[in-house]
Formats: sequence, structure tokens, C-alpha cells
Amino acid sequence: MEQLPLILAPAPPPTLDNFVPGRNQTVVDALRRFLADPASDRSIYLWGPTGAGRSHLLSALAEAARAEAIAVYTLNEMPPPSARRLLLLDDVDQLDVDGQQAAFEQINHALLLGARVLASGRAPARSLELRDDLRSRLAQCLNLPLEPLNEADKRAALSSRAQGAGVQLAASLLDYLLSHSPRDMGRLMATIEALDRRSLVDQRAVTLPLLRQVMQALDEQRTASTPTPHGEPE
Amino acid sequence: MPSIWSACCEELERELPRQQFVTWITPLREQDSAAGSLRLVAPNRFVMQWVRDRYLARIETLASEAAGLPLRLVLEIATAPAGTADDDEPGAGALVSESDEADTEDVTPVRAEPQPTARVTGPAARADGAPDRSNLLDGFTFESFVTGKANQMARAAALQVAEHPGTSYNPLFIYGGVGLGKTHLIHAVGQRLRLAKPNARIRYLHAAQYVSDVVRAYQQKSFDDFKRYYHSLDLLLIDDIQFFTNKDRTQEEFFYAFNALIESQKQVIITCDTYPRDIAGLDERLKSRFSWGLTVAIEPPEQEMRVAIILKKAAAVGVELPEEVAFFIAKHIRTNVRELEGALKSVLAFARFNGKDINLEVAKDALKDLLSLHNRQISIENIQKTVADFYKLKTSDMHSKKRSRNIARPRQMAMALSRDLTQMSLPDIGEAFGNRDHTTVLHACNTIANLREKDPSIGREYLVLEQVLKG
Repeated sequence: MEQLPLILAPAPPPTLDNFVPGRNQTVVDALRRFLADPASDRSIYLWGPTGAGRSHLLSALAEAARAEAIAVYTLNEMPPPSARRLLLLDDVDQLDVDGQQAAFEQINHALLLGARVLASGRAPARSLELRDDLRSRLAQCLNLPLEPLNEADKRAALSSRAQGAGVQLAASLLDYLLSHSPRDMGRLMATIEALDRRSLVDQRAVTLPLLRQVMQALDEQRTASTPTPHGEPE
Repeated sequence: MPSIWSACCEELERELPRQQFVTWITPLREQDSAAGSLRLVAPNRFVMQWVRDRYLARIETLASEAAGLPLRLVLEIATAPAGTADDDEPGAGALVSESDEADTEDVTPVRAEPQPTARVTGPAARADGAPDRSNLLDGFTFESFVTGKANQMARAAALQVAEHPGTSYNPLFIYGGVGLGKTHLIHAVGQRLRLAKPNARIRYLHAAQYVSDVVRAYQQKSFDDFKRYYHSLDLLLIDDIQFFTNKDRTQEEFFYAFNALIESQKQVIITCDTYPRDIAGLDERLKSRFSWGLTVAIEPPEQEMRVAIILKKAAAVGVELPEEVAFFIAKHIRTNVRELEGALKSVLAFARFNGKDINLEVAKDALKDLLSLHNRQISIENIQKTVADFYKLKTSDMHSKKRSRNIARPRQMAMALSRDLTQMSLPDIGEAFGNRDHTTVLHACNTIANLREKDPSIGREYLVLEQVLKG
């Protein structure tokens, strides 16, 4: 029977502070301003490829908003009866017909309520394949592009995550990871999480063979669950 | 009144987690409500405080919806002697008070869920003391509406209707594509009428909201209240009527409301994405009635008008925009006003983030992503084709085993670009280049990195290709 690890260092919740900005410092600044400054743009649409950090930033904003007593709600929730509200819509490019209708109504409603809106998708709003009325409303938001991290930033982000879990990642392991795995941050971080977990369960040191085993297991999981929900280029 | 409270309870029971509902809502008792108000009694101060802080606005909204007219909510503790003089005085635990901060601790006047009226130019409560449920948005006025050939007919008609509601064109039917200002225009009519007649009962709503209202009235069997409310309006502004398509019950209800309003010379303004006759799935009776008054179109704005819109929107946020920048945006964004506004925001934000003055160069830089046809979803196939074209090779050379310099170097270039511009793993990249090993890819990347430092022409070629691929 597999020993279940006592999770000593659960994955840290996404925050603006633990987001590695790379070339996206202005986006992070804009998001801080979005919450703090009543005169800033009331609606922001973040776009960028898979793994650029959109969901991280949306979750981080949700937490930061709650800390400011701003009520956060999303697609199928009723707008909270609070004067300060934030509507979050992640992955709008994935919305089906019903989802688009719901998003359209929520955005209209948010406008009437004076709520803030934070949405995200994989491409600039203008080029999304959505209903015209929804697309134009997203295009009206301040569109901010998220750039994927470059290799040096990715290394820094991965080392820092590993260190947070008390794991020292040798440079050779990082080399191997970055030259063998898909290099979007979502996948890379998931690999580090899995590596950490596996080493706790098996009580093995973090070595190259262990990393390979974990990567292979993740690959198998992934092929088993195809088609991938986001249709990443694999 | 008891039926209204039970309707609220039903709704709250659906909305709230079971435990919250049982703990906070079930202890409330409806008691001796006066006309125009709903009086609830809480068993103790703790429950009263909790309900006041969290649910009061929602209850008031539900009660008003169930009643079909705005209701004040009076919240009290059971131990307090009932029927004290405070009961009917405005502000005593009532929702209409404006001074929501300064107060005594006992009868904190709590304001209803802030409707947009709180931000609206004009009184938040109507002159007769009833809360404003008009939903009118500030900023959407005739003054801020830019006129041009594309919309001058619609604007003139709207202005006429605002000044002579119910008697000039009824209904006024405005149609046009998305983001051309239909919603702005009908809000402007509402704003203008409210200035002239502060007590006018005005209601803006999206057709989808009307559909939900009908569904709710159906569920709560409150059609009488529903009818009373909608038939009592002085001005009904209903947006995107095409959302009524195939909603038979909604169309029937709207038919009655429409007739009642028109007969009593109350103004109705409707917007739609198409001409009345062309709305699919709409009752013929409604189609013909929509054409009774005046039907006007809003066309997409021509370039001069787009420039004027951009300049006006910039001025509204206190920015004096150079005209050449406005022209640049107007030249490239032709679809609708929302996209113009989005593009303007991008330029302003870009200049602010980078601490630059707004000029043409900054605008071009800020909009390069928005204006490029690609959206930076760069694929390996794309890279291979672009690189092959650039070096006048065949795409098949990218996969071939040939190792002559004139083919191998471009192939290395393409591999390096694939590594830098996609998130694919190196083994996958190798596979896409004729089943090569990931170490070959690594070697190619290192070779190109070295060459870029030593050989300026390779450095330039790399940058050119990167730019082409990024659009």
C-alpha cells in the first residue's frame, strides 16, 4: 500500500507576489492598480498562450479582491449584493453557446451594477471566435497581453517553487526538464509538484531517474485523458 | 404582504446554502407591514445585525420584484415595543435614506443594493421618494453622443421622443450592428426625460432580463404584480429585442405590456440587431406593432466620425489626444465603437506604463498586437514555412536528411525559432524536423546563439524572421 505523504508544503496559493513577472511587470502593476485605484479601467481582458499565467493571475486577483472586501463572482453565480463586485471570466475562448450567453448577460449586468470585470483568453479579444456582441464587449476592455517567460525566468521560477517545498533542484535536473518537457509553465510547475510528491511518497531523493519516472507518469496520464481540454500543441 | 415575504423566502431558499437559510432567514417574521413597505421582525439583535449586513439589500430587491413596485424594508427586533412612532417615518430602519454612514446604532438606515443610480447624474432617489430603478447609466447622454451621417437620423428621432414622449414616434425602433451606440442612445433618452420630469417612471433593461423576469413571475405566480409594474411605466427602454426569439410566453407578456403602454401614450423604445420584419422567431403581431412608430437604423461610423468618437472619449478621461493618433486608430479599427474604445485604452495604458507621451509611434507600438492578423499562436509548420520562404528553400528541406550548409543552417535557424517562440518540448521539435534527436535541437540552438553574437547578418536575419512570425 502506498504511503500517503503528510503534505508539508502544499502548493502555495497563487498571489500577485509569487507570480514571476518576467516581461509582464506592467501587467502585474496594472492589476494592482485595477483593484486599488477607483479611477483605473473598470474592465481588463488578459490574453496569452497556455501556461503564460492567466489563471494564476485571475486566482491571485480574486484573493486580493476578497482581502479588500470586494465580492468576487463568476459565470453562473448571482452577482453578490455588494457595492464592490468583481466578475471573473477565465478562458472565454472556450465558452460554448450557453456559456457565451451567460457571459454576455453577466457582462451587461456588471456594467449596470458598476462591477469590475476581469476576463482572460488565448488571443486578443478582437480575434476571438465568439458571438459579435460578446466579442465586442471583451474588445472594449483594456486588453493586456501576457508574454510567456523566457528560459532564464522559467528556471528561476521553477527553482524557487522547488525551494519553497524544501527541494534543491540540481541544474542538471532543470536542464533535463527544460529540454524534454513541454515548456509551458503550467506543465512545468505540475511536474515539479509531482516530483516533490513522488519523492515524499517513495522517500527517495530528487534525482534524474525519479524526474524521468514522474515525467513519464504525467505523460501517460495525459495521453489517457486526451483530447486535452485546451488542445495544446503537443 | 405575507405572500410577498413567502415569495422572497422561496427565492432565498434557492439562493442560499441550506444552513444559512435556516439560521438567518427562517427566524424572521413578517408583521404589520404598512403600505409600500415590508416589515420584518428578528428574534434578537444578533440576527437583525447579521441580516442587515448581508441579506438586507437582496431581500429588498426580491420583495420589490415580487411586489412589482419598490418596497421599503423595515427590520426590527421582536423585543422592541411594536408600533412605536418610528414605524412609518422615513429613515427609521428604512432603505431609502441617503445618509448611510452617520447614524445611531439602533436604527441604522441601510441603503438598498446600490443600483447604478448611485453613480447617475441626478438624484439617487426620485423626487417622490421612491428608489430609482431606472437602471440608467451615467455618461450615456446626448451630450456625449457623437453624431455623424451614420446615426444622425436615429439621434434626431431619439431627441424628438425624449422631448415629446408618447406622442411623436411610438414605438421608436432603433436597429443596427453591435457596438454602434444603440444602448447609448436609449439611455440618453431616459436621462433627458428624467431631467425634464424627475418623477417619470423610467426603466431600462436588456431583453434577456425581461425574459428572466417573465420566468420568475411564472415560477412565483406573480404575473399580476409583474403586469402592474411594467404597465405603469412612463418610458420603457428595452435593448436587443432579438433575444425574444422563440420565447413564446415572453412575447405574449410583452405584447400586453406593449399594447397597454402605447394605448396610454407611454413611450416605448426598442433596439434590435435587425429590421423588425427580419427578426426570426418573433410573433407576427409584434413585428407589425414594432413598425407602427418610426424605425431608424444606425450604420457603422465613417472614418471622420470614428476620429471624433476617439477624441471625445479621450477628452472624457482628461487626455488631449494628438489628432494623428486618433486618425491612426480610426483608420485601422473600422468595426464598431467598442473596439475603438478598447484600442484607445490600450494606447493610453501603454503610454502610461512606459512613461511616454502619446504620439503616433507609441500608438503603433501599443496596437501592434491588436492590429496584427495573427494572434501569436505560432506553430512549427508556420515557422518552417516562413524560414523556408525566407531562404528560398522548399518546406520539405526542413525535414530532409540533407546536411549541406545552405540547407542545414536555415534548418537550425528554424529549430532555434521553434524553441524560442513555441512552448513545445525539444524532443517534439526534433520530431517535427524529420525525427531528429532533442540533442540536435539543442545543438542547433547553441549554434544559432553563437552565430547571432559573431555574425551580424545572422543576428539580423533572426530578428527579421522573429518579427515576421509575430506579425
